[in-house]
Amino acid sequence: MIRLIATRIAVSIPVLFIMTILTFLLASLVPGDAATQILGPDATPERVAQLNAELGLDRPVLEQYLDWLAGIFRGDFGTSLFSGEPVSRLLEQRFWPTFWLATFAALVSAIIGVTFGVVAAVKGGWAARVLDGIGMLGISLPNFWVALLLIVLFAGTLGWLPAVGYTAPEDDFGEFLSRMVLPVTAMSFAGVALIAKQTRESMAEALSRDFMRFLQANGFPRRRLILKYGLRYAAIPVLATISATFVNHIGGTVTLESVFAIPGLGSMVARGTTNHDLANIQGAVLLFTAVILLVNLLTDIVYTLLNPKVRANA
Amino acid sequence: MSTAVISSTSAAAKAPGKLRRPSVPVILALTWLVIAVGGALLADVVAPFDPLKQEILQAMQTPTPEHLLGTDVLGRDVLSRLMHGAGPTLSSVAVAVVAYTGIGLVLGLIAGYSGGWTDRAVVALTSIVIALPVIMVLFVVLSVFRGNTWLAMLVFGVLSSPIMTLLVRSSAIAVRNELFVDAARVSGLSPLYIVFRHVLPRSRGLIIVQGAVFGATALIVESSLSYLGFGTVPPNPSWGNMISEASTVITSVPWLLVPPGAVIALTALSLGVIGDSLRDSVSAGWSTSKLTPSGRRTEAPRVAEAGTGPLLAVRDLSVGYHSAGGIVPIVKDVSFEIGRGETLGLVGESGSGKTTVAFGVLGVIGEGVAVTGGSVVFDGADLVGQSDAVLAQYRGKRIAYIAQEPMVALGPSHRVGDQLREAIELNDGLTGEAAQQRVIELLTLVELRDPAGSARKYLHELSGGMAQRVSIAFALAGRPELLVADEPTTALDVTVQAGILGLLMRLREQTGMSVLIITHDWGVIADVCDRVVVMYKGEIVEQATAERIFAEPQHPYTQALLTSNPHGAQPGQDLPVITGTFTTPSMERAALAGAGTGAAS
Ligand SMILES: Nc1ncnc2c1ncn2[C@@H]1O[C@H](COP(=O)(O)OP(=O)(O)OP(=O)(O)O)[C@@H](O)[C@H]1O
Ligand SMILES: [Mg+2]
Repeated sequence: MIRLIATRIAVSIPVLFIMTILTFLLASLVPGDAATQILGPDATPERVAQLNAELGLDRPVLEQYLDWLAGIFRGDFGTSLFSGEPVSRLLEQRFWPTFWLATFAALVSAIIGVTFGVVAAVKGGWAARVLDGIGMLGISLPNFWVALLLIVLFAGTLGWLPAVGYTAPEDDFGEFLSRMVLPVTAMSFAGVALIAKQTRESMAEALSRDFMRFLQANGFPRRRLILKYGLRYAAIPVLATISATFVNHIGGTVTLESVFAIPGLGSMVARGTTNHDLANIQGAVLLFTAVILLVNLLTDIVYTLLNPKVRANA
Repeated sequence: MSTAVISSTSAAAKAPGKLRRPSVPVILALTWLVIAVGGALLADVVAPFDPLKQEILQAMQTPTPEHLLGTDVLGRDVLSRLMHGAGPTLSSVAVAVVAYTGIGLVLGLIAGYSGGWTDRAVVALTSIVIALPVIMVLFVVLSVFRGNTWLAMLVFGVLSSPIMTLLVRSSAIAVRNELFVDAARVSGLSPLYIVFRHVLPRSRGLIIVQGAVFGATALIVESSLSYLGFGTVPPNPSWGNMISEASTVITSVPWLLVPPGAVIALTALSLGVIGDSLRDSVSAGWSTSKLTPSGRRTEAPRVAEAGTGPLLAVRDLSVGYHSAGGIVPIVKDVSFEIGRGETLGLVGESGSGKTTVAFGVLGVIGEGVAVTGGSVVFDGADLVGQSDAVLAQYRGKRIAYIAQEPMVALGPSHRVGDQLREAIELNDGLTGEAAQQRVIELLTLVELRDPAGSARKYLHELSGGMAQRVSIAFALAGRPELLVADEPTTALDVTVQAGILGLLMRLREQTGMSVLIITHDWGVIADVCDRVVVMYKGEIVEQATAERIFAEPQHPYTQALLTSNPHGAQPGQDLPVITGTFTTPSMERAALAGAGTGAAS
């Protein structure tokens, strides 16, 4: 188990470094662009050079990179080129909306997906086919489009829910929930589909094991075999899918936070990309990467806890 | 006739590479893809309007005969814009798919085929790339190279390719390990030739499936980028930016959302459907549930007074499995009885239906198999087709079961002691400390050396012999009157077989339970059985006391079995395969009926 975690961390560290290098290398390919962006195309070359010097953008890339890296260890992610705010403060403010969105969506996907999957595996026949159809549809619908349709229906036509915006849970919890409903729903579509499919396949696999028959013949009720032994057997692949879904959701926040005007990390990335605000993107992407690596690490740990064979060897 | 059905279904299952005739959804999916690609290629010719031509007076119309899909905010024809927007959208998806499959194929084949350090290097590289947050990298790329969706999609394909690489690698390894590839290599064929001739064709199905599914993902990603404004720049259309334009007027004309979204969804759906149908034909198919659904009958009809007749009376039991051609019989009109305290042996060659009879008796025939006739009367009550609620009174409590393969008989993820305790709670009504004590008691009863230690173990930590002892403890948990033991020693090491058999016999003496024992082994019959039933091709050809079977076997099949393995054969020796065909009762009846009609005409 310790070995497994060590391996995972050994892979994670290069990944984080690759991400930092990648963002810097790419940025260096288009030098000086930031100043031109801020000052506009009409600025004089002198003024551009001056601003570049002010921002430290005229130094060698390696120097800038090492500086930035050193800053990160101090919790300093640099300054947003546009708003002039420290990136670390932006990250702090914008972390929670994204966290709530991705976490709620993962929870909803997991609960509904596993339920659907178990029902389809146990009922088989038409239930499984209907679920396969829905699942396929769930994966094929672009989440931002689903989001817009949901807004038209529930905020527009029916007027049940607010269309866009975000309220922090500590400010007004009811408002927070009602504003979360649509984004979480839109985000969960694909997750439900993927998790349901994986659950169905893994449950079918579990039910086809010989021990199901042995235990049934020796008096174990069907329901208990499905809900206890079947789910337990299916847990590992299903868990992997849930974790992959959470990672997908993090990517999905970029589009959905833009649709719903949620002030999170996703919309920060989207806006940063439009504005060429590299400091913002670097910070947000790095944070996202760290979260994803952490989720993978946690998944691995739960794996080993769930799998007696691995646990015994580790 | 029935054998023909069996062989044809197994042949179909064994030819994974061969594609079945496409189903209706697949045809629809292919048709849609042809329309979408065709529309994109011929947009200049077939599109009814110039995609950029604005007619403000006709803005924001819902469909009309002239504008089949309506017009957008600036009065441009939606259909024409969709057709012109397909080009940029689909081509950047194609870039991603080509990069994904190309890189995956090359790296996967190299790694899988050459093995060694090359393989390790590729695997190490993929494990790092897989951990990269691909979507985030895309935004970094786009923030530097603005509006360059092609590049972004290329990067997307490259960074996603490890999944394809690993898949191709594992199938290349599987093929490499096959003999004919070795033979080809030894005979000096070039690696490239071997890869193209032998490895690639086998991985083809997998590659197409994975490519199609990735295509659907790439389309969604491309549309998201374009929706966010990082793709085709307006006024030029792309599917994604059309949604983004429509989103500015969703309160007044929600209709405008429909055409571009539906087109994206249909295309992604089509790719998914094609991938899925191929996957189904590539993989071996559905695994069938071993859990038997509840029957409908809610009250066991009394056939005889309880406690009077034989403990178990099986009458004309027939079992068959469902196939495309109807129900194929596996067991036909089987009848036998087991008295209280009696041990009945069931012998027959492999595939003769012995296990199926046992499952029929236990009411656990599994999904896709059905009892097509007859009755299983246990202590006067017919159990066939009973609901779970009724069978709960019997399963584990009065009838218990030991399986042929002890190493897969228990759940793999729970400690064996915990499972045994659950069986005790269910079948013996004990709880808490008493149940825990009974666990140890039972494990001691089955002569495990370290009962408490074994209880804490998982199944995979036990040896076959130990696992079978735990299974026996399981079966004894409910103090059953009938134990069904399906070849309890066949899967075990020869050295432990006698020990398990001896244990079973001692337990039978102690408890006085009846036993139905299935075996391949005449030695077992001679040692432990009171009576013997001989099965052949799903039917009983002979039943008699153990002494009589050895002294005067009646049926030619029994005689053949015995002459090739005479009385006194070493225990542990399997039944020989008897060549030649023998008549079964149903064949005799058919022959008689044929003779009867022949005489009448
Ligand atoms: N679900 C099923 N679908 C198709 N065929 C089946 C199914 N179950 C059993 N059969 C077939 O029925 C026949 C009898 O099987 P069964 O397992 O009862 O034989 P057996 O006498 O126990 O053989 P063995 O000695 O090898 O255990 C076999 O030919 C088997 O392939
Ligand atoms: Mg068998």
